[in-house]
Amino acid sequence: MFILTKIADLVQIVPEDFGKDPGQAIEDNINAKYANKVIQKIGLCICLYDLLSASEGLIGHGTGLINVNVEFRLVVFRPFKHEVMTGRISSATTSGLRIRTPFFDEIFVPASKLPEGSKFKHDDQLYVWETDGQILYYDNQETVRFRIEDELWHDQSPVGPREKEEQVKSSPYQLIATMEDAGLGPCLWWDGEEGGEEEMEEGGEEGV
Amino acid sequence: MKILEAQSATLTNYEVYQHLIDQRTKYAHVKGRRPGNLETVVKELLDYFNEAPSPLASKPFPYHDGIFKELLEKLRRWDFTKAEILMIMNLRPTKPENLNTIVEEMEERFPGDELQWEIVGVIAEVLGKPDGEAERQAMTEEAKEARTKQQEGMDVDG
Repeated sequence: MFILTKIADLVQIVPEDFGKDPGQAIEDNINAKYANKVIQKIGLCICLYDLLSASEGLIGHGTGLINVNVEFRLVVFRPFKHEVMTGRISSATTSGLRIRTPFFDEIFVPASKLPEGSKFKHDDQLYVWETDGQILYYDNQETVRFRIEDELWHDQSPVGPREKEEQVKSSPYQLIATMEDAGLGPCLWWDGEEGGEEEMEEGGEEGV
Repeated sequence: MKILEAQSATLTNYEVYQHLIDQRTKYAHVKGRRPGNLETVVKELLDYFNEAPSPLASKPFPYHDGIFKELLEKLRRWDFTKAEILMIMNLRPTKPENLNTIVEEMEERFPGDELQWEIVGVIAEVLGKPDGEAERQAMTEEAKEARTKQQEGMDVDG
């Protein structure tokens, strides 16, 4: 789920921070710039992992800023394709299920990627899975397991006024997931008690 | 900003968790506030790690330094890919059904119940087993709590 990305950047330390320990000042600066932000084709940045090198601090003309060239590594959230993760169902629509984790809520499971026999129930605004005459519910806020299938990137850089009208607002980084395989879907269906091994291995259709 | 290396390494959830905890301990002794966006994401990520069924939330705490070396040695006799090993470390499958989601084409590569139970047995031996009942209860509780919160949020909005 997490990777390290090596980045080179220029850090500018403002005079208010001169009282801080230099290492801490650089760290705060990097975190303020990157933490909880998405870099296109890289992922969601979490925080600084380590500082690899820093140049001498240089003061330019006209400002009191100290400029430092740094190289560092960031912890980045970027699940790989086919990675299995857990999260919670946040809502269901006819087009599919939306899943969220506390720190990332742009995960979508299209209705076509739910196991065969899944249907949307308009009365409850929920999906159900009918199997062997049993009905299992994809309740809201249920913890689910899913596999990452695809990622979508939307560059947020500003565009000219003419193109602006056509643009639909979308999040910078979205994940598309699937629940088609046995073992995916609400964890409560699968993580049954220990005794149920014999019946469970018949494809594990029994709900718990 | 210049990206020197898009992916210089992959981290397990335990390593990220450990990094966040160490960072928090370090910051407790440093004066001043850390950037707000950092605190938000760190709190949210720790919330995620502390939610069932994450192994990081289970008690006793299953990981310690050097545990992955031990796990790798024990899993060496089977032919797992790097990605599969990473997911095994993060998700701790202790049943064939759970292993099946992680391992592609498990039936062909690791045929038979006996072999599959042996593999998950080895994983459970190193990483421990989740307390099934407690975990299910925690998941139900968490879901309930979140639903109440969602409901309240709607009421406020309305």
